[in-house]
Amino acid sequence: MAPQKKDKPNKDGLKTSITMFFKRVFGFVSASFIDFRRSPLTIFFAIAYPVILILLFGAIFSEHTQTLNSFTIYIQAEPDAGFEIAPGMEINLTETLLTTLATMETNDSEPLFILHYIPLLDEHTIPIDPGKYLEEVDGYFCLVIPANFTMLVYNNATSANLTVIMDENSQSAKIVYNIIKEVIYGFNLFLAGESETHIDMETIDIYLEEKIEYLDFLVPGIIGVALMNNAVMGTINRYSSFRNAGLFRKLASTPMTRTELVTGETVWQGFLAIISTAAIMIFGWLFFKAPFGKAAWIIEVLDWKIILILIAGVLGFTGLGMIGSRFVKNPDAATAAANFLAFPMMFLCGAFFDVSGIAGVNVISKLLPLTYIIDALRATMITKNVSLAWYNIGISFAFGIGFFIIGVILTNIKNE
Amino acid sequence: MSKRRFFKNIYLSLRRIWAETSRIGLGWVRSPAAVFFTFIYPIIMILLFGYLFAGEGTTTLYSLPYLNEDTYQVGNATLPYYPAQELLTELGLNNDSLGEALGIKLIPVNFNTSEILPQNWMKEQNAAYLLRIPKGWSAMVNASLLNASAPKALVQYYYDPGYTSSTEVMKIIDNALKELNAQLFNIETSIGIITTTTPEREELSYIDFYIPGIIMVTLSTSGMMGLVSTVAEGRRNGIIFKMSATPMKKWEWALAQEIWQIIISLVIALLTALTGVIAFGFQLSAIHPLHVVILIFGSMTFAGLALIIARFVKSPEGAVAATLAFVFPQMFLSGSIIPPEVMPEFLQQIARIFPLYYIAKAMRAAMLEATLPKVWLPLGITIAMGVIFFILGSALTIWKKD
Repeated sequence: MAPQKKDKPNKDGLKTSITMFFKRVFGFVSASFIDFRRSPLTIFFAIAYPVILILLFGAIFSEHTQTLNSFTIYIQAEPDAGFEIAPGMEINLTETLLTTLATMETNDSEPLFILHYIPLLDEHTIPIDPGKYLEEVDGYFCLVIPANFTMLVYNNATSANLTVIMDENSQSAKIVYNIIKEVIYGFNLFLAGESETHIDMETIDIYLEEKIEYLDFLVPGIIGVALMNNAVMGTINRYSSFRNAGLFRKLASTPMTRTELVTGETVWQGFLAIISTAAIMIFGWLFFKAPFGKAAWIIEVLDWKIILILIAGVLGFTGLGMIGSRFVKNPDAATAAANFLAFPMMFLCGAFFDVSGIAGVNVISKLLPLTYIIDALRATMITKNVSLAWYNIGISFAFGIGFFIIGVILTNIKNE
Repeated sequence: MSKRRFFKNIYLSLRRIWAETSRIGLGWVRSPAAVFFTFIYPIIMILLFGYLFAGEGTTTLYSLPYLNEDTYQVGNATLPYYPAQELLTELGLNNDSLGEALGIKLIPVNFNTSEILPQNWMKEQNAAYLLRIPKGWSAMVNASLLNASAPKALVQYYYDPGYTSSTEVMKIIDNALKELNAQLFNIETSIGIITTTTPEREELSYIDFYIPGIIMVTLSTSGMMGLVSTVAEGRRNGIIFKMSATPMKKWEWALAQEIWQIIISLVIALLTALTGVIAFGFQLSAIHPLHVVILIFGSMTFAGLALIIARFVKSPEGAVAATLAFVFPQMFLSGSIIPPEVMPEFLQQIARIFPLYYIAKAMRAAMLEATLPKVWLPLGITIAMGVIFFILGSALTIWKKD
């Protein structure tokens, strides 16, 4: 009987400690919530920011908004007398090429190329340099067709060359160049008497049956980015603000421990993460799925493992925020530190585009927690690859718990 | 007001502006973390964007798994071709330098397609792409050599649409197939293409055009977020409220904030350019004196915008969320990172509402003599924005305690 009597106060003490722990954590979260609720603009932006992210990237990358734009290209064509390939049968390759380019269309049935012709001579009958002309009109692509091009093609043993002058730093110029190359390849086939290639490639989208498109891969990436930005930037800014307001010093005179404070902060960031995730999914569905006959998408992507991933992410990124905030004292430095941690991760972890082919970057990305959060979300929500999901969830939790523990250790409210 | 008093007022105003600017500067200098992160952030940004988007200093090498099921085809007496092997050679098999030039690294894989479908194998292995040369492919190619109407010989390219690089890899394979097609079927290149770059751009590389944009992206993110947070914090802890009890005027305070942002911007720009020189060989000759003007008024624009945003948000989280909500679309739509012309038309129109669109345009136009005449409109807009946003920022600033 004696040991029972001795145990009872301990059990009660433990129970009281646990109750008090949760009460204090709840108190911190309630205070954060009330502060949040009292600022309508903060609520608006907390929801608006992830919504803007999904709308922005959805609009840029969604297949429903993707169309090939029209390209303005410049042509300087010398006169071409054509060539009689058979009696009474004349061909003019310059004309054929220009007609081909002029009649090509985008998927919206708009002209693919808007052709502008560069005169051969200026008003003083001095030859116009097409390269300089292109720079003056701020163009990016010019096709120069030599004089009597057809004759050159049919008479010369060596190939007759077209000249492309392009701004090699322009993305549009590169796209146009690839299209022109395809057109010229077609011309070469025709001139060789072939109607088509004998060897070719069949492309197979491995998620065609599941009807997964690029936007589906983008949604988990954006959830990951919003989660990270909220937690890292939010925590650094809040902690810096608490420090400046003397809140840490005040908390040091209360029974609240640093574990409770850190847990409270993590729970609060978890709440914000759920709001952001819900906003991204709802708006992504409303704008890019439901109007295109995919009303069930929002149900299909839901999975209980998302909660686990969010917890892992919030633990890790809040911990990272706490680590960052340990080294900064003023809001200016807090912002710079938050940007320093969050921005590189956003681009290095394959949230918007994959970095697997970029040497060095693909190795760095494997060292960053956001990579695993995004991969876990993609495997859970989109590809439904359970083993891959668990593998990434495991790594995310390892990162999360590690950063959280370091964050707790580095948070020292007594010294603040 | 007498002339003397007028000049005395100006003198006192300047002193107050100087005092406030010095105060901000001293606070910054006395925080080693602030100095460190302010400097490290632009360095990280230029290295990041330089490697990722400008493709400088790094090679892109996609690992392409290939499944050659055509291994038992060794050709025949009349047509001793083994096209499968030739295709793989075209793609850089056993030739690392060719592979690197193409941007591809072939990885042989082996599995039985009657037991597991290639798409399922890819999902299991988390592979982004797979080139499959089906059994009998070489025989089909050889048949085409004898009979022009024989069916096309197709290789199969499986890809995961989640990987943006799948299109790049597809293009590389497509080019190799075209090359092989021309070789095997004796298709002469009757028409060739010679490419040259525009005369003034010959000496410049991609990074030279990229750095001015990156400088402005860095300034817009760090400047705006920093100032919004500082003001939100100043209002919360009452520092700004205390200002109302001093002779300082709101516009003087706002001007001091802007001057500090301009100083930091110039330092950040210099640091970014120097990092660009060291890491990517950025040519300082690409810098024009007008860039300094654009930088000053660009910083004023972002500082003014930050003061406007700070007027409406109260908490630090609100400050971060509000700034991110503005900074992100601006960063991606302005043409500093993604060229606007590759975006849908309506996004190109939306891009025009962001100040960075005009600032980035002015920065680029000032780089070349040929495009210099085009700098005046975006430069004029940048200057106008700098002044207007400063006036608005000063007017909207409130000095009351929250």
